[in-house]
Amino acid sequence: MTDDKATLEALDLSVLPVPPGLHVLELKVDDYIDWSGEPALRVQILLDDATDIPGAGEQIDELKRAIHNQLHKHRIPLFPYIFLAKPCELTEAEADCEDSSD
Amino acid sequence: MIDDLFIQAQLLATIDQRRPKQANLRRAISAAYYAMFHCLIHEATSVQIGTQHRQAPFRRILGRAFTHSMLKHVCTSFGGGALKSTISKRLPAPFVVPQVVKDMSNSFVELQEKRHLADYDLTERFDRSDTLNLIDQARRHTQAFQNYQLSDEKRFFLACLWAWKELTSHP
Repeated sequence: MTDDKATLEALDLSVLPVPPGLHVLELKVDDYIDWSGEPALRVQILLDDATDIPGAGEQIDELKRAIHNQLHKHRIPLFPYIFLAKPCELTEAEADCEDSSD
Repeated sequence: MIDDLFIQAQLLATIDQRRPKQANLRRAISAAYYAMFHCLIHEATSVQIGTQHRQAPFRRILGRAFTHSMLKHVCTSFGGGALKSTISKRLPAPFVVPQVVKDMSNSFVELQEKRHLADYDLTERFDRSDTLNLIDQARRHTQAFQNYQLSDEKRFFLACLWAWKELTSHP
Protein backbone atom coordinates (compact mmCIF):
# COMPACT_ATOMS: atom_id res chain seq x y z
CA MET A 1 0.00 0.00 0.00
CA THR A 2 1.29 3.48 -0.83
CA ASP A 3 1.88 5.74 2.15
CA ASP A 4 1.26 8.93 0.18
CA LYS A 5 -1.65 10.63 1.94
CA ALA A 6 -2.77 12.68 -1.05
CA THR A 7 -2.98 9.57 -3.23
CA LEU A 8 -4.91 7.61 -0.61
CA GLU A 9 -7.34 10.50 -0.17
CA ALA A 10 -7.79 10.94 -3.93
CA LEU A 11 -8.58 7.26 -4.47
CA ASP A 12 -10.56 6.60 -1.32
CA LEU A 13 -13.52 4.43 -2.29
CA SER A 14 -15.86 6.65 -0.29
CA VAL A 15 -15.09 9.68 -2.50
CA LEU A 16 -14.56 7.93 -5.81
CA PRO A 17 -17.68 8.10 -8.01
CA VAL A 18 -18.23 4.38 -8.54
CA PRO A 19 -20.82 3.90 -11.31
CA PRO A 20 -24.15 2.51 -10.10
CA GLY A 21 -24.42 -1.23 -10.56
CA LEU A 22 -20.69 -1.86 -10.28
CA HIS A 23 -19.93 -3.61 -7.01
CA VAL A 24 -16.37 -2.77 -5.91
CA LEU A 25 -15.31 -4.79 -2.87
CA GLU A 26 -11.86 -3.29 -2.42
CA LEU A 27 -9.46 -0.82 -3.98
CA LYS A 28 -5.77 -1.03 -3.14
CA VAL A 29 -3.07 1.40 -4.29
CA ASP A 30 0.64 0.60 -4.39
CA ASP A 31 3.63 2.61 -5.51
CA TYR A 32 4.90 1.19 -8.77
CA ILE A 33 7.65 1.61 -11.34
CA ASP A 34 6.61 0.85 -14.92
CA TRP A 35 8.66 -0.91 -17.59
CA SER A 36 10.27 2.33 -18.72
CA GLY A 37 11.41 3.22 -15.17
CA GLU A 38 8.72 5.89 -14.61
CA PRO A 39 7.22 6.12 -11.11
CA ALA A 40 3.53 5.18 -11.31
CA LEU A 41 0.71 3.64 -9.27
CA ARG A 42 -0.63 0.12 -9.28
CA VAL A 43 -4.35 0.11 -8.48
CA GLN A 44 -5.90 -3.25 -7.68
CA ILE A 45 -9.70 -3.34 -7.86
CA LEU A 46 -11.57 -6.29 -6.45
CA LEU A 47 -14.97 -6.74 -8.11
CA ASP A 48 -17.83 -8.88 -6.93
CA ASP A 49 -17.74 -12.45 -8.25
CA ALA A 50 -21.09 -11.90 -10.00
CA THR A 51 -19.76 -9.04 -12.18
CA ASP A 52 -20.26 -9.71 -15.88
CA ILE A 53 -16.98 -8.26 -17.17
CA PRO A 54 -17.86 -7.76 -20.85
CA GLY A 55 -21.33 -6.49 -19.89
CA ALA A 56 -19.88 -4.01 -17.40
CA GLY A 57 -17.36 -2.58 -19.87
CA GLU A 58 -18.80 0.95 -19.95
CA GLN A 59 -19.10 1.08 -16.15
CA ILE A 60 -15.51 -0.08 -15.72
CA ASP A 61 -14.47 2.60 -18.25
CA GLU A 62 -16.23 5.18 -16.08
CA LEU A 63 -14.49 3.95 -12.96
CA LYS A 64 -11.09 4.04 -14.65
CA ARG A 65 -11.79 7.57 -15.94
CA ALA A 66 -12.79 8.60 -12.41
CA ILE A 67 -9.46 7.31 -11.08
CA HIS A 68 -7.52 9.27 -13.73
CA ASN A 69 -9.61 12.39 -13.06
CA GLN A 70 -9.20 12.19 -9.29
CA LEU A 71 -5.41 11.97 -9.61
CA HIS A 72 -5.44 14.85 -12.08
CA LYS A 73 -7.63 16.91 -9.75
CA HIS A 74 -5.24 16.32 -6.87
CA ARG A 75 -2.24 17.15 -9.11
CA ILE A 76 -0.72 13.70 -8.71
CA PRO A 77 1.26 13.17 -11.91
CA LEU A 78 1.45 9.38 -11.73
CA PHE A 79 -0.14 7.02 -14.23
CA PRO A 80 -2.51 4.54 -12.55
CA TYR A 81 -2.09 1.01 -13.90
CA ILE A 82 -5.41 -0.56 -12.99
CA PHE A 83 -5.78 -4.30 -12.42
CA LEU A 84 -9.14 -6.01 -11.94
CA ALA A 85 -9.80 -9.27 -10.17
CA LYS A 86 -12.59 -11.20 -8.51
CA PRO A 87 -12.32 -13.01 -5.16
CA CYS A 88 -12.77 -16.39 -6.89
CA GLU A 89 -9.72 -15.66 -9.05
CA LEU A 90 -7.60 -14.85 -6.02
CA THR A 91 -8.62 -18.21 -4.54
CA GLU A 92 -7.54 -19.86 -7.79
CA ALA A 93 -4.21 -18.05 -7.55
CA GLU A 94 -3.65 -19.43 -4.07
CA ALA A 95 -4.49 -22.90 -5.33
CA ASP A 96 -1.99 -22.43 -8.18
CA CYS A 97 0.68 -21.45 -5.66
CA GLU A 98 -0.06 -24.54 -3.58
CA ASP A 99 0.05 -26.69 -6.72
CA SER A 100 3.41 -25.31 -7.76
CA SER A 101 4.92 -25.89 -4.32
CA ASP A 102 4.15 -29.61 -4.54
CA MET B 1 -4.92 -7.28 -39.26
CA ILE B 2 -6.17 -5.10 -36.36
CA ASP B 3 -9.50 -6.95 -36.24
CA ASP B 4 -7.75 -10.31 -36.55
CA LEU B 5 -5.53 -9.51 -33.57
CA PHE B 6 -8.56 -8.65 -31.44
CA ILE B 7 -10.29 -11.88 -32.52
CA GLN B 8 -7.14 -13.81 -31.66
CA ALA B 9 -6.92 -12.11 -28.25
CA GLN B 10 -10.56 -12.96 -27.44
CA LEU B 11 -10.10 -16.55 -28.58
CA LEU B 12 -7.02 -17.06 -26.41
CA ALA B 13 -8.64 -15.47 -23.35
CA THR B 14 -11.68 -17.75 -23.56
CA ILE B 15 -10.19 -20.95 -24.99
CA ASP B 16 -9.84 -22.66 -21.58
CA GLN B 17 -13.25 -23.54 -20.21
CA ARG B 18 -12.24 -23.62 -16.54
CA ARG B 19 -9.02 -22.26 -15.06
CA PRO B 20 -7.30 -20.31 -17.84
CA LYS B 21 -3.72 -21.14 -18.74
CA GLN B 22 -1.35 -18.27 -18.04
CA ALA B 23 0.27 -18.75 -21.44
CA ASN B 24 -3.06 -18.12 -23.17
CA LEU B 25 -3.88 -15.01 -21.11
CA ARG B 26 -0.38 -13.63 -21.71
CA ARG B 27 -0.58 -14.11 -25.48
CA ALA B 28 -4.10 -12.62 -25.46
CA ILE B 29 -2.83 -9.44 -23.81
CA SER B 30 0.05 -9.23 -26.24
CA ALA B 31 -2.27 -9.64 -29.25
CA ALA B 32 -4.62 -6.92 -27.98
CA TYR B 33 -1.67 -4.58 -27.42
CA TYR B 34 -0.38 -5.08 -30.95
CA ALA B 35 -3.85 -4.39 -32.34
CA MET B 36 -3.76 -0.95 -30.68
CA PHE B 37 -0.12 -0.38 -31.63
CA HIS B 38 -0.79 -1.10 -35.31
CA CYS B 39 -3.98 0.98 -35.23
CA LEU B 40 -2.10 4.07 -34.04
CA ILE B 41 0.59 3.57 -36.67
CA HIS B 42 -1.99 2.98 -39.41
CA GLU B 43 -3.90 6.12 -38.48
CA ALA B 44 -0.77 8.25 -38.28
CA THR B 45 0.69 7.04 -41.56
CA SER B 46 -2.70 7.28 -43.32
CA VAL B 47 -2.94 10.98 -42.47
CA GLN B 48 0.58 11.47 -43.80
CA ILE B 49 0.47 9.28 -46.93
CA GLY B 50 -3.16 8.52 -47.67
CA THR B 51 -5.46 5.55 -47.29
CA GLN B 52 -5.36 4.12 -50.83
CA HIS B 53 -4.35 0.48 -51.26
CA ARG B 54 -1.55 1.50 -53.66
CA GLN B 55 -0.10 3.69 -50.90
CA ALA B 56 0.25 0.79 -48.45
CA PRO B 57 3.97 0.18 -49.13
CA PHE B 58 4.73 3.80 -48.16
CA ARG B 59 2.66 3.51 -45.00
CA ARG B 60 4.37 0.27 -44.03
CA ILE B 61 7.87 1.67 -44.48
CA LEU B 62 7.04 4.79 -42.48
CA GLY B 63 5.43 2.61 -39.83
CA ARG B 64 8.87 1.25 -39.01
CA ALA B 65 9.80 4.65 -37.59
CA PHE B 66 7.50 4.41 -34.54
CA THR B 67 8.79 3.17 -31.21
CA HIS B 68 6.90 1.76 -28.25
CA SER B 69 8.46 4.27 -25.86
CA MET B 70 7.66 7.29 -28.03
CA LEU B 71 4.03 6.23 -28.35
CA LYS B 72 3.91 5.79 -24.58
CA HIS B 73 5.22 9.32 -23.96
CA VAL B 74 2.68 10.88 -26.32
CA CYS B 75 -0.22 8.80 -24.99
CA THR B 76 0.68 9.54 -21.37
CA SER B 77 0.56 13.27 -22.10
CA PHE B 78 -2.65 13.23 -24.14
CA GLY B 79 -4.31 10.70 -21.81
CA GLY B 80 -3.75 13.04 -18.88
CA GLY B 81 -5.34 15.82 -20.89
CA ALA B 82 -2.61 18.29 -19.95
CA LEU B 83 0.13 18.88 -22.48
CA LYS B 84 3.38 20.57 -21.52
CA SER B 85 2.83 24.30 -21.20
CA THR B 86 5.48 24.97 -23.87
CA ILE B 87 3.19 23.14 -26.30
CA SER B 88 -0.27 23.99 -25.02
CA LYS B 89 0.37 27.75 -24.72
CA ARG B 90 0.93 27.96 -28.48
CA LEU B 91 -2.26 26.08 -29.34
CA PRO B 92 -5.59 27.82 -29.97
CA ALA B 93 -7.35 28.30 -26.64
CA PRO B 94 -9.09 26.46 -25.22
CA PHE B 95 -7.33 23.35 -26.51
CA VAL B 96 -9.13 20.31 -25.15
CA VAL B 97 -8.04 16.75 -25.79
CA PRO B 98 -11.16 14.90 -27.05
CA GLN B 99 -12.38 12.14 -24.70
CA VAL B 100 -11.98 9.62 -27.51
CA VAL B 101 -8.26 10.47 -27.76
CA LYS B 102 -7.88 10.35 -23.96
CA ASP B 103 -9.52 6.93 -23.79
CA MET B 104 -7.39 5.57 -26.63
CA SER B 105 -4.24 6.98 -25.03
CA ASN B 106 -4.89 5.69 -21.52
CA SER B 107 -5.90 2.25 -22.79
CA PHE B 108 -2.74 2.09 -24.86
CA VAL B 109 -0.44 3.01 -21.95
CA GLU B 110 -2.16 0.51 -19.64
CA LEU B 111 -2.03 -2.27 -22.21
CA GLN B 112 1.60 -1.56 -23.09
CA GLU B 113 2.61 -2.03 -19.45
CA LYS B 114 0.60 -5.23 -19.13
CA ARG B 115 1.95 -6.55 -22.41
CA HIS B 116 5.45 -5.98 -21.04
CA LEU B 117 4.58 -7.91 -17.87
CA ALA B 118 2.87 -10.62 -19.91
CA ASP B 119 5.86 -11.13 -22.18
CA TYR B 120 8.72 -10.75 -19.71
CA ASP B 121 7.66 -11.09 -16.06
CA LEU B 122 6.86 -14.60 -14.92
CA THR B 123 6.26 -13.43 -11.33
CA GLU B 124 3.11 -11.64 -12.53
CA ARG B 125 -0.10 -13.65 -12.56
CA PHE B 126 -2.93 -12.67 -14.90
CA ASP B 127 -6.62 -13.07 -14.19
CA ARG B 128 -9.26 -13.72 -16.82
CA SER B 129 -11.39 -10.79 -15.61
CA ASP B 130 -8.65 -8.27 -16.17
CA THR B 131 -7.64 -9.82 -19.49
CA LEU B 132 -11.21 -9.84 -20.84
CA ASN B 133 -11.74 -6.26 -19.71
CA LEU B 134 -8.48 -5.18 -21.36
CA ILE B 135 -9.45 -6.76 -24.67
CA ASP B 136 -12.97 -5.35 -24.59
CA GLN B 137 -11.75 -1.89 -23.56
CA ALA B 138 -9.01 -1.87 -26.20
CA ARG B 139 -11.42 -2.95 -28.94
CA ARG B 140 -14.08 -0.37 -28.06
CA HIS B 141 -11.61 2.48 -27.70
CA THR B 142 -9.82 1.55 -30.91
CA GLN B 143 -13.08 1.46 -32.86
CA ALA B 144 -14.21 4.78 -31.40
CA PHE B 145 -10.85 6.32 -32.27
CA GLN B 146 -10.94 5.01 -35.84
CA ASN B 147 -14.50 6.30 -36.31
CA TYR B 148 -13.81 9.69 -34.78
CA GLN B 149 -13.76 12.58 -37.23
CA LEU B 150 -10.35 13.75 -38.41
CA SER B 151 -10.47 16.95 -36.36
CA ASP B 152 -7.51 19.28 -35.82
CA GLU B 153 -7.08 17.76 -32.36
CA LYS B 154 -6.91 14.22 -33.73
CA ARG B 155 -4.52 15.27 -36.51
CA PHE B 156 -2.33 17.01 -33.95
CA PHE B 157 -2.27 13.92 -31.72
CA LEU B 158 -1.30 11.73 -34.67
CA ALA B 159 1.40 14.19 -35.77
CA CYS B 160 2.80 14.17 -32.23
CA LEU B 161 3.38 10.42 -32.57
CA TRP B 162 6.05 11.39 -35.12
CA ALA B 163 7.34 14.65 -33.75
CA TRP B 164 7.16 14.34 -29.97
CA LYS B 165 10.87 14.00 -29.25
CA GLU B 166 11.80 17.13 -31.13
CA LEU B 167 8.69 18.99 -30.01
CA THR B 168 9.34 18.40 -26.32
CA SER B 169 13.07 19.07 -26.46
CA HIS B 170 12.49 22.78 -27.18
CA PRO B 171 12.20 25.08 -24.15
